Amino acid sequence: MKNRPPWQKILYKRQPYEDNFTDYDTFLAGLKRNSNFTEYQFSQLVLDSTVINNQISLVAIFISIFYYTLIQSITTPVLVGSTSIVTIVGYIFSVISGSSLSGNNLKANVRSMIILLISIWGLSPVLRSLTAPISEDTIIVLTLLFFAVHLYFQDYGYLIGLSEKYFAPVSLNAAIFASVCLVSRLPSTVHVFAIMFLAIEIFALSPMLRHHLKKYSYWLDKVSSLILFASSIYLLKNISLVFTWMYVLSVSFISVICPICLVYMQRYKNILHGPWDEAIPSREKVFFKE
Amino acid sequence: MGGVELHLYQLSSCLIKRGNKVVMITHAYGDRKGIRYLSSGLKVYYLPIQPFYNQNSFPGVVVPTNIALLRNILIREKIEIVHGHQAFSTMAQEMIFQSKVMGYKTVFTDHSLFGFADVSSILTNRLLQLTMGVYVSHVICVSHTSKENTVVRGNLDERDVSVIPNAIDYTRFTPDPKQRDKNSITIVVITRLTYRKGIDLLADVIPLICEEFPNVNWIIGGDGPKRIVLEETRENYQLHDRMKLLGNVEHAHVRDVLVQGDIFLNCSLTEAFCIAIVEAASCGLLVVSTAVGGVPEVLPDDMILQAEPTTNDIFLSMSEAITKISEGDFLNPFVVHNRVRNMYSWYDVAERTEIVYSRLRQEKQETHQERINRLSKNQGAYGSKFFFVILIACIFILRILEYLLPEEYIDEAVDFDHRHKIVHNNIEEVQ
Repeated sequence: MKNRPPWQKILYKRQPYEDNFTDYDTFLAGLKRNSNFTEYQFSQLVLDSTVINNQISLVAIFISIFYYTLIQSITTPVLVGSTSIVTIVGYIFSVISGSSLSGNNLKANVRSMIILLISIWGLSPVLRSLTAPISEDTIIVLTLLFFAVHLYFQDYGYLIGLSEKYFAPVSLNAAIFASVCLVSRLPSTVHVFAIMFLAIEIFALSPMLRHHLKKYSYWLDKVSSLILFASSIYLLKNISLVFTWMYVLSVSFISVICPICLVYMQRYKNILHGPWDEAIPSREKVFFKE
Repeated sequence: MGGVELHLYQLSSCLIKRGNKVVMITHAYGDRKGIRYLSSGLKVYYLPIQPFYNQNSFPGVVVPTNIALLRNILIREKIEIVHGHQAFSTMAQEMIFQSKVMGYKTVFTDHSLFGFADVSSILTNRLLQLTMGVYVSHVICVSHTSKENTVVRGNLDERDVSVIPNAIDYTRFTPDPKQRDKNSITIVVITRLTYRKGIDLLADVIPLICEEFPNVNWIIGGDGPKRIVLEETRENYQLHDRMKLLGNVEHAHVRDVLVQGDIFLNCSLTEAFCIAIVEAASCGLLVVSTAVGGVPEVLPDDMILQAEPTTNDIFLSMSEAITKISEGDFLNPFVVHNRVRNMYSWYDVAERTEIVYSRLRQEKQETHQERINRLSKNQGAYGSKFFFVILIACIFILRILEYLLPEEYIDEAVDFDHRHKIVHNNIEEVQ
């Protein structure tokens, strides 16, 4: 039995132990498994998934309203009027509930809205002829593709309240491009203006409103998700039963099947922490003069 | 030179001095191709393979020319053991694999710490699990923390991993207290200026220290993307006369910068083994460092002051260090240098590496079947099939090469016996 001093975890002294010696008392003593692990709850996941479903519903609603406009079920004044009413209601709501979106400057906001409307009105003839020569099949494929890109790259973190800045240029551009593709099939320039106004409202303005709504009242947000869900089904029903079923299936996939999979896979979670981790520098300057 | 290259050069030189034959294989560097001899007697093969990304060559694992080149070199030089370094080197991984299949013994040295959470770590760990678990006979790590990290991420047996620390050339890093400014305390920082080296923390601490201690000056050497942060700090707090930014310092001049200082500061967020603090201690400086990774194991407590990687704690440790120096409470620089002399030397590293090599001598040759079994146990269902295909391809190419270029027809290289080197008036003769 060798009478040697206890092994120390140091490198500056040559110790009477072979180099591949392992002191099992201290080896991997600093290893922490699954330390900061918060387990996902199924109900929480289902409720949180409504943010994705909202986006899908909005896309479905937009496409169905476009279709109704195309077959002249909705007239242009009705469309522009209702879009304006929804925008004004949303604006009033955000001002009343004290969000910082509007910046409390009514004149500036009204002015920018008017500028926006005039630009869309001015650009409508251009937008209408932009994708006119493209064949209808290609238009359908392009629209679907770009709405899929829009859904994939959307900033859901902002919508659910995790971050404070909306940053999803790819998704916004994809949505606007998809609407431009659609708009070329419309009968007149006024229709183009109406649909583009709707597109701007849904894809550019509503994220801020939804973010604020979620922060303001959790349950109001959930109620609005239900309303969007019901409206999409109601609007799609008269267009095509196939689309309605596709919509319902995709929503249930996101809200039911995905949470089940995620909760099931928690058992494989293996977060490892130890002294080898790159430190997170704390730059808080709390120092005291003695 | 980077830390790993220095390690390779010094280790090879010491192994050669101990009577071993060492040959280094690397890829081409710009125009530098072919065979070169370094003054220590080391023969370097610059293979005609160009790097394609980030100084790494393309991992042509089953490219016949790569295998043929390697086989040729290994047979010519009568190599017994192949030692690969650094997880980031594609060439090391590739050559370890190919030489193991050819039947040579392999060793791997890991120089860095890895996390587990991000994509690059996950992929690299998977690959290293294969290399270290199946194709390497023994693994060497540079610190005990590095050993723990390697064992966990490679899923290895602890007895297959040895800890052999890095070292420094202490003859080059000698103190010179006359170079210090007697009227002020100088703090030296020499590091790459990147996020990983904690430059944000450094930029926070500098104004705090300068305000608290009016006779403290800073010398900062090194370059990198975070240099702008330090320059901003200098601008904002008007420290132009107290803070010197030297830019990139060549390794040959590092000692000249170090001896001008009283204290050396290291703020890294992660280090497997920090050679910089050993170099600083060898020059007689008092070291202040963040206690991350392998740093707590490197120097004894009376030569280093450790801090948590936070601005507050680094400030406290620096204050303690400055007070110690100004009160004359720190050891004489030559005393410190002599202690470091006995702690880390490349001869020691070479001797311990030789112990690893001799242990390999007794290892018996593994058959292909045994290797395939180890492979399937090591990787998952899909991984093992994929790597199995690569293994078979490599064996197939080797058989073809053995037929086309049989071993008997390959010339043996002449060994350069440097012991008989005589230098007369700048002419070298060999007897």
